[in-house]
Amino acid sequence: MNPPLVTGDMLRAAIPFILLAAGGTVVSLAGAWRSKRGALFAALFLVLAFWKLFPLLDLEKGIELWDGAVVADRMSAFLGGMLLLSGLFALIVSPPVLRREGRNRAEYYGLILFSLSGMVLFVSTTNLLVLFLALELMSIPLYVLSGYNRGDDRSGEAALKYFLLGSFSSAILLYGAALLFGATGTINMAAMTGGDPLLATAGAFLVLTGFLFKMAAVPFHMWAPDVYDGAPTPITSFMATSVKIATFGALLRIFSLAGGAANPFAHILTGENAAKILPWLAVMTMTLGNVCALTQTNIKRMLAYSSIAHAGYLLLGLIPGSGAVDAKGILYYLFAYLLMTTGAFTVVIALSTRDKGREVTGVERYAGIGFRRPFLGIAMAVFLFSLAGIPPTAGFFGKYLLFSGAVHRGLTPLVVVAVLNSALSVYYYLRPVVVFYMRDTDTPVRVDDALSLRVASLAAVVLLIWFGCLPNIGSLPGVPALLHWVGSAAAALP
Amino acid sequence: MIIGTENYLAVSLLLFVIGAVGVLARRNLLVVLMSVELMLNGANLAFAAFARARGVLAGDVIVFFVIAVAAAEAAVGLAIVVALFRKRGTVNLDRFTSLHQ
Amino acid sequence: MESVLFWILSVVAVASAVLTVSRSNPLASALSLTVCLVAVAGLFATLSAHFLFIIQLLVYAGAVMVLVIYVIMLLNLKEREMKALGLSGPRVFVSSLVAVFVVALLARAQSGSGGFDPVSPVLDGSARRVAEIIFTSYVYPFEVVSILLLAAVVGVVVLGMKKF
Repeated sequence: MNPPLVTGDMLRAAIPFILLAAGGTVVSLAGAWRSKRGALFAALFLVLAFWKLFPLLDLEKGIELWDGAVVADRMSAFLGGMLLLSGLFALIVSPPVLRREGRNRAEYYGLILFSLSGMVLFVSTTNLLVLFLALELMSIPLYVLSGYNRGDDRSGEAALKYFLLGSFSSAILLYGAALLFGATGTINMAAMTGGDPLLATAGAFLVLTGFLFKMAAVPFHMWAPDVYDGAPTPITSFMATSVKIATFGALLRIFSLAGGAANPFAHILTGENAAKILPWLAVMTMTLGNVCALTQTNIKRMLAYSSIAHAGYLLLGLIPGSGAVDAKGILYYLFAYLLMTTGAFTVVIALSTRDKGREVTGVERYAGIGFRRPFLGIAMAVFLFSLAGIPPTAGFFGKYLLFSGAVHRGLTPLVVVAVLNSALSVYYYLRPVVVFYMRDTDTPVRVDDALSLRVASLAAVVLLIWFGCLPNIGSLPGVPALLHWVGSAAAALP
Repeated sequence: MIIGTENYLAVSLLLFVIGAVGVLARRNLLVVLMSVELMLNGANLAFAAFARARGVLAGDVIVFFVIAVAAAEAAVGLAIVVALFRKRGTVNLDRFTSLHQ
Repeated sequence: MESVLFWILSVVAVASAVLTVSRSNPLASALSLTVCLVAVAGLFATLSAHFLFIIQLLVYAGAVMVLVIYVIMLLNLKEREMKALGLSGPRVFVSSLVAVFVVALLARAQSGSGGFDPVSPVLDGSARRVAEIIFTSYVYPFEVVSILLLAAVVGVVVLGMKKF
């Protein structure tokens, strides 16, 4: 007799995905009636998913179903929470932009929900088939969304570029999955042991290559600046944060499975020759990202290269060295990265102007904004300081956690490179601040005063500083509480 | 005579790599799209062959799902191509350069 | 008999794959790809994956390729543009180098897999057997694919809208 198809555990574990997918369906359907309230409907489903995700943060023991197809534990709950937060920011900052351009359609928000449902799935599975499906589910809506701005040639090109490289990389990942399946006879990565080591290592490498494409690590980064530049800014912000959270979250889970020496991914992490590859990737990624960002005058491209550099810092946490993968550092850093990147892009949205359908985002246009718009100036300064890793922001504390963890694992030379890189990055992060405050002009750029933009940037500023330096105040959670959540999420990994 | 798994793998590898060369070397968007399909087919053949070598039917199920995904991907890709063609009147990848300043 | 069939099918598959990426006329590419997909379907049949054989023919060689050919005809490319978009020398050289490297690497990995039994025709990939596990152990991925297809449909509608 077969076991029952649906049990309470299953619903509990899969409910965030179900809610997001259902939300995507309903909101897209609302588009058929040309509904203008797409963002509101989408936000409702998102909050509902948040509410259902919350109990999972207290799971004592993870739930694993269908041969690893769904793994719900504190780790997936924490990552899911961050993904939903990123989605919520996207829902808040999008309407002013879309209304300005007269294309506020519900389908846009439906696609965001579909993409989120794929991401939530992506970070909560060890099954290669579900991993591949989730990757496609999160990517396909993003291809479409990056081409959403029909008035701008660059938006369509961004969609094209993202689609071509995205489908190329998922084909590579799929071939790697085939080799892993052939070597071990299973598609559950948690159950993979033994098998032909050469075949398994080749498969693991191809899968890793697929991931490196998605996180825009060197040498698979070339699509990122163009796609980030061409896509509508709210989507750039959403992609830059959520895709990074999803890929690093999934990699954390996969790499933590490599504890058993017979797991194929253990060959990559600790194998004699293979172990040298990840450190090089990390160094190249952060250096190239920072060096290229130095010469950018377009703030979206600068932030794109900066996100490549941040992927490099995060890769540092994935190198086991003499210990294990630094899940705690990565999770904290991802949280900080989410807030500071979304915040910076929100300010870019507020300051962006259009010229013949084209979005203009040159840094030079921001002259004098700092004194004319004190709040925007201060907010942007906080985001950029945090990205540069200057205290007392969460960006600083995240870097501190990541780097000190790496030193403890015997990776001091890498940390030296990373610190030099951060020092270099201060130069280009400070340049917009200099333009904001030190230059002035008679024709200041027009500012979008939409309430939702102000709310989003205020929230990002407060959270960044709050979780960067404040202790728990009464029942309000501060840094120690965040560290506790991050720690318990990390402890859920094997 | 029974055919060894490695023969199927050789064919699958060739399909995958020919597809990859197509993606990298061709400038015609439509052909690039088709090359991606070739890569997916290479992976599919490997899954089906490995399913036999390992005696696990999961390989067949995966191929079934991948075919569905490939259909979805092809639809979206073609829609992007058509949308771009309507605006720019070309399918030449090298002509889409407004992102390089 | 079976090995003859296998060799014929694989030669056809690889040759038509080469044609797919090398022809300058996209319509010729599409037809070669269709031949390749049919040959792969035949390979599935020699593996006794009957379900995949029919799905490959119906969905892939049928529906997907009809869509591709339809779009090619819709775009109606000019002869001159197609010629200009054929294979370009330097790119082919560089990507072939990469390809040879990858083939060598992966072939070595795969040849190490001496531990495989030869393909056993015992594993029955009939529609009944595949359906049995799709709707029991793989019911969750099945639902995910349905959402994926829905998302793709919505995406295509958004891309196809002339104006908002």
